[in-house]
Amino acid sequence: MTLLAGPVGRRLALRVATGGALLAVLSLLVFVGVDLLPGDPVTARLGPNATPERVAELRAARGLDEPVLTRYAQWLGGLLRGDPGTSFSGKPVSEMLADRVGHSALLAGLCVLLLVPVSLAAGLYAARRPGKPADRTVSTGALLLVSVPEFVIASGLVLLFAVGLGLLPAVSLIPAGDHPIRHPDMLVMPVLSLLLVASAYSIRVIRACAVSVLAGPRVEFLRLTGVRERTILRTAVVPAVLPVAVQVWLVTGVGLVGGAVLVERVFAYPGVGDLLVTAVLGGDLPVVQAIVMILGAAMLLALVLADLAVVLLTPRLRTGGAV
Amino acid sequence: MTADSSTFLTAEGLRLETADGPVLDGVDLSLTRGESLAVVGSSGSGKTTLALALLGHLRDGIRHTGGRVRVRGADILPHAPAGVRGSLIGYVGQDPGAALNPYARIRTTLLTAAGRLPRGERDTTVRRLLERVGLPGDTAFARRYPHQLSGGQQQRVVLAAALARDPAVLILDEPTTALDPPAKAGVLRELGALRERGIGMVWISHDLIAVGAFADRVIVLDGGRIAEEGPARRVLTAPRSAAGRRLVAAGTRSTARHTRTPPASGRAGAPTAVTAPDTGAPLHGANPPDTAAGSDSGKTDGPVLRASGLVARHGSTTVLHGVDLAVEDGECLAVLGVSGVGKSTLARCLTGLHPAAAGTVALRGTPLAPDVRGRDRRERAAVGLVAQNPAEALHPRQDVRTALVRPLKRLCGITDRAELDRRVRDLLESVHLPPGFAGRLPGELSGGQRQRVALARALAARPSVLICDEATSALDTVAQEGVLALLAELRARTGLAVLLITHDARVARDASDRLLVLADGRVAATGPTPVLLPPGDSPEEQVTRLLTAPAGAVRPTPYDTDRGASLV
Amino acid sequence: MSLPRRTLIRSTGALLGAVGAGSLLAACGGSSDTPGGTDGAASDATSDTPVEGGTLRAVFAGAGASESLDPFAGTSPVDFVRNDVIYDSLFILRDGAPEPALATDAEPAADGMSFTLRLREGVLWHDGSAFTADDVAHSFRYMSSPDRPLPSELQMYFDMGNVTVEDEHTLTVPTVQPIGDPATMLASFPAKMVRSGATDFSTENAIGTGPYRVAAFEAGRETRLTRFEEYWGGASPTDELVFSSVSDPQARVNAVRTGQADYAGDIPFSTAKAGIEGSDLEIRTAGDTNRTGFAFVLNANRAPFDDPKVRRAARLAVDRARLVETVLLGYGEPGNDLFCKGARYFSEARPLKRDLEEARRLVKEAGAEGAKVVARSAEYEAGYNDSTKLFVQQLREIGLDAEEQIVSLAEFFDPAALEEADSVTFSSSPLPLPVIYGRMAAYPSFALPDDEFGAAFGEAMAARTDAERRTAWAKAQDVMADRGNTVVWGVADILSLARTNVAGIEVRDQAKYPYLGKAGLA
Repeated sequence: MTLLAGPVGRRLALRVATGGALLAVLSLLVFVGVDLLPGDPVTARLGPNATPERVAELRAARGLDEPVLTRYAQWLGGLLRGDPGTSFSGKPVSEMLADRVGHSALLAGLCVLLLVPVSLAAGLYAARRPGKPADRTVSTGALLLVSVPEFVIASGLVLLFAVGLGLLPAVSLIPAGDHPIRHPDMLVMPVLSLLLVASAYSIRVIRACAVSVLAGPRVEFLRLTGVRERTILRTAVVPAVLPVAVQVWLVTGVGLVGGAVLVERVFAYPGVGDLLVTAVLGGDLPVVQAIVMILGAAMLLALVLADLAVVLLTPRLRTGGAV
Repeated sequence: MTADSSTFLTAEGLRLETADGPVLDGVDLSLTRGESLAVVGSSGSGKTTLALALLGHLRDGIRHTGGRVRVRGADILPHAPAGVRGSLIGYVGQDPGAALNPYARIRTTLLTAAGRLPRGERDTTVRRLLERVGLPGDTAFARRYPHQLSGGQQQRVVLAAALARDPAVLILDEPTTALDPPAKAGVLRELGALRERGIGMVWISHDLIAVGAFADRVIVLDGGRIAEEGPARRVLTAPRSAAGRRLVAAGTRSTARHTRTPPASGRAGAPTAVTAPDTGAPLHGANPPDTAAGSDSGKTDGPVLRASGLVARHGSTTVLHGVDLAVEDGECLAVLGVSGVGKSTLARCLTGLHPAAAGTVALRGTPLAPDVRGRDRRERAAVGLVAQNPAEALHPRQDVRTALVRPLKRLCGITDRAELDRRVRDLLESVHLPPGFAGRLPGELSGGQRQRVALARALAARPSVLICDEATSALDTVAQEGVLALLAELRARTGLAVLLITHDARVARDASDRLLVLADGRVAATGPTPVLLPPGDSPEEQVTRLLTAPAGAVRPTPYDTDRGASLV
Repeated sequence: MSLPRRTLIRSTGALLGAVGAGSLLAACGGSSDTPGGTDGAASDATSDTPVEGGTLRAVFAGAGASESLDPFAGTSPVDFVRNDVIYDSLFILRDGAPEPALATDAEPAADGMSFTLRLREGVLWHDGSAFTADDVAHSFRYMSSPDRPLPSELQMYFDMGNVTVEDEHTLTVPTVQPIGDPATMLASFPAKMVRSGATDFSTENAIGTGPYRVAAFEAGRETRLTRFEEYWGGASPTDELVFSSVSDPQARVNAVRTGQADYAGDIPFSTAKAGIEGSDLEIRTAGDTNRTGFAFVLNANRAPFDDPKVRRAARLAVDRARLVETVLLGYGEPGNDLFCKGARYFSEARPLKRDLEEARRLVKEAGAEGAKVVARSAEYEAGYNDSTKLFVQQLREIGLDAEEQIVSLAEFFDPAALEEADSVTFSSSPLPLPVIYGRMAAYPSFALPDDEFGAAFGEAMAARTDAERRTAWAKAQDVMADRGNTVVWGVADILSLARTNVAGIEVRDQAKYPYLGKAGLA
């Protein structure tokens, strides 16, 4: 695309390069940081059977007695070859992660898919008459949702729809070998829980942006030219809101992949957030390190994409002409 | 309510108020089909509010407390019924950049304005609309975005959009003020053509020359009331009201020259005989404020600011190709050129906001760092900048006092509250604004008042040289006069050097001592103003001649200029 | 109308909520002596017989993606329950006594330094091949290898690398110390048998001898098991078992409530207290002999608890009734400071009555007034931290400067930290006495440095007859009751939630991980 040859391409290349450098720094921080977590993974694993001799034995067997930087170098080497190492439970980390990252991504993806139209519609609806009842309802509702913890929302949904009305399954017990997508009824409530919380923030941002555009001179001109409100929204407000909204959506979406822990817990959904918590509690360092790296890389990618999206959505930046 | 069938638009006893008092106080107006009406007045007289009210639009904070506005007999206040805006009345505002949707291609803007069209008709409609305003009708042009057009082209697009549904009347609110001479000429030409075709116009302006050429009748607005009304010719040559007289006088002044008085032994010299246009009183009121000029002492000989061989680039395009200039104490140097030629870039290079790729800028002989961050506080204070658009230059949420205090704190290092208060008072006084204005927000001020605040802010740090980048372009004649007179007073009293960047040849002739004409990034001509622009011929013609001299031919700017560009 | 006793035990939700489970159970339970289990176990095991066919679905806490079909790798409840029906051990525990499973006999040599193990004949693996002594030898080597995440504890007692295969169904196993009852040891520690040469435990290769075979497995999610028709103990009634891993206790309860599962093991006391509505659901208890003992183990290697007087003072100071009420919500009863109530040879000494004056006197006498006491705890089980906080308050009342040290799970068992602590919160199900005291002896901070106890313990381990063992354990526990370092303040019920027609659930060694090999829907 000729688009990529010009300023857009240059920007993108710069972002990718910076992103790579950041990832490298992240990998070091993750490795050393997780290592510094309180608790010895070996004693955590052995539990009540952790006699000092067994502990020393296992530490040596796992190579945990070598200095941090040596282990970091080994780990990094493995990562670059595509091998994130072996979990302390004996299984290869890649095997443990494989499906779960995809499952969490599915949840996050479905949430974002719904988030876009919902937050856009609600935000625009509230922005059209700021201060009036419609706006107050939407804004207050969003504020409430943002304040309530997501597991409370999730539990509430379970009580209402599963236990109370019996319409949906309470727990996402997806049979072995099946992919969650084949059990849409088990996805409804987890996605809804995530959506309610994520949309609250997006709605507020979109509303604020739309209000300022609607009060601006361009919309005034369109009104003075007799253009209908709906057309104004479509051609002037939505394109102005999109650059901001896309950033929020992307970052929220990626944040959901690892951040949906509590929701995954309530529904026993086989995702990566739950795995991360279990691994942290159990001191399973290789798993923690691998997951954090993946989530960090995904977030960096989302930020690069968000940046790119802003450029693509803003004609002035896209054509590279800043007059 | 039997309206004359040919009376298209009327306002009867219109009264609009804000929290601070009435904006329009009993205005009566009527427009018949095909008629051209001009509404003139100084800034703050309520012109824009009236223009919008004629479309049935009230800005936030404006209340309709009396009277009515009717279009073909139907009331349009407080809300215009469907089918009035765009279809019966069109609107063209002052700033096309602010009016056009930056996210929509020209084509989309025009189609939106034209309303529902069957698919097959869209392309032809776009072409027709563009050609009607003298713009190329080809697809490539229609697919451009607003930022890819010059100011004049943008304004013509706005005009095309306003005409999209063939309204009978156009409301034009200062349509050519923000444009440079060639663009202005182009737009005026199109408007003239429209008038020939019988489109009625309500023309709001302070440009009496253009008004004189186009309007059938003129209404003079003063303080929200109609001061005078009558045929254009009569009002413009022999105004009867005080307001009318003031405006006409300001617009056709040809002898008010604001010249330098050589400073006598370090102190300001004798005041010049300049009177303030609005009050007629001498500009030196009581309590002339502290007159220490510049934060450095001792006026040495030699220019206060000198630039040598300045080269500036935007990305890979070179905008300035080795520009030299020099400004002396107490002098006003006008930099003249068409829009897009690099005047603003020059201003930014001198102030360090755009690091020059090559060349030097020296303050009293000492070279300044190309980037403002490399300059110390004293150096930054020495070079002041007033930009074009006062609405954008002032933070909408900071009141006047906060805006003035900032440079006092940052560049002068004053922290004592009492001292700050005193300085703020003095600054407001030096720009002839009442001290009560300190608590106001920019939104509560008129354009001229805002520009004065911006000027005061630039003067707060007591600069040695003040760069004014199109500082008067957005103002009406009276306000313009006020600002220029102020600058003259400051130059006389404090020895302030002024670099006046403008595209308005008239302003350049009237206000400057020396002139520098910029064309295509190079200096096309430079010299004392009386020599380059002798009184007699119109200044525009003289500038054209300078620009089309063999040494510097006018070449197209990065984006095509208006078709058939010439300086008329 | 008089209700049969077992129906009284199976309280429905409404009744529980109104009356208070603790009192009801205390009233009804505890006094039975039916062979094969007490009332509590009876409510799970023998009440109704499961019918042929069908699917039983159960949910347990899992460990996410680190679950495994390797019987020596999994450490979560679902792993234990699942592996119990896929694989068999050589011996199993019933009422604290070993019962033959894959082995029929374990005869110790005269000096106790080895024993002869005889295997059951006619046992088949899931793929149809025969179970032989080679399999046992391989299993022993595999489970004790340092490559295992948790090498077997049996190697503290047996020399598992050097077994000799005598013939197809006989082996000789040397021991590390004199062991008089190797069968109990083999029954107490997970010693599942895997096939000779087995190293990979993927779904296809997880071959065992148990009543069910693996049909599908997804770590952290679900295991599907189908009946193995040629099981040596007789084919089970239910066609299919489905075990799902659900970490959140409330989610487990919800799964049963909404019909996604039939049985949820180990539900929290608070849920039981709140009650479950639904006429086809009931909360069950595993019975008195299957309670978990909650304790504070005092570090007798450092002051002030190196002085038996101070230890006794602590035991006099602890408010058992209050702890049972607050931490267990009444689901349990006060303990007598000895571990493993319900295990064989357990001494039913009476608990000490709370006597603050005597306790203070003892503290003063020992000169330990104002001594600093650090009580270490983490929420390894629900209630650890709360009980520790109350204990600290109670110690302060008798003049000790006590302070709690609440840490995260991952660092709880750090050996260096344990040595510095004066009290460590701990719990145990009714394991056989050799197991619990053997484990405590391995930890310096948990062991009791008392010669008399040490001697009695050694005797008990080496004893060959039941009578000898009984005497030795009685002696050892007398010492503990007199001047021991375990403050077992209460024994807690293990509660589960089930549909009323779920039957055939047994408790073998730990009630938290019941045996579902013969379970089904009635």
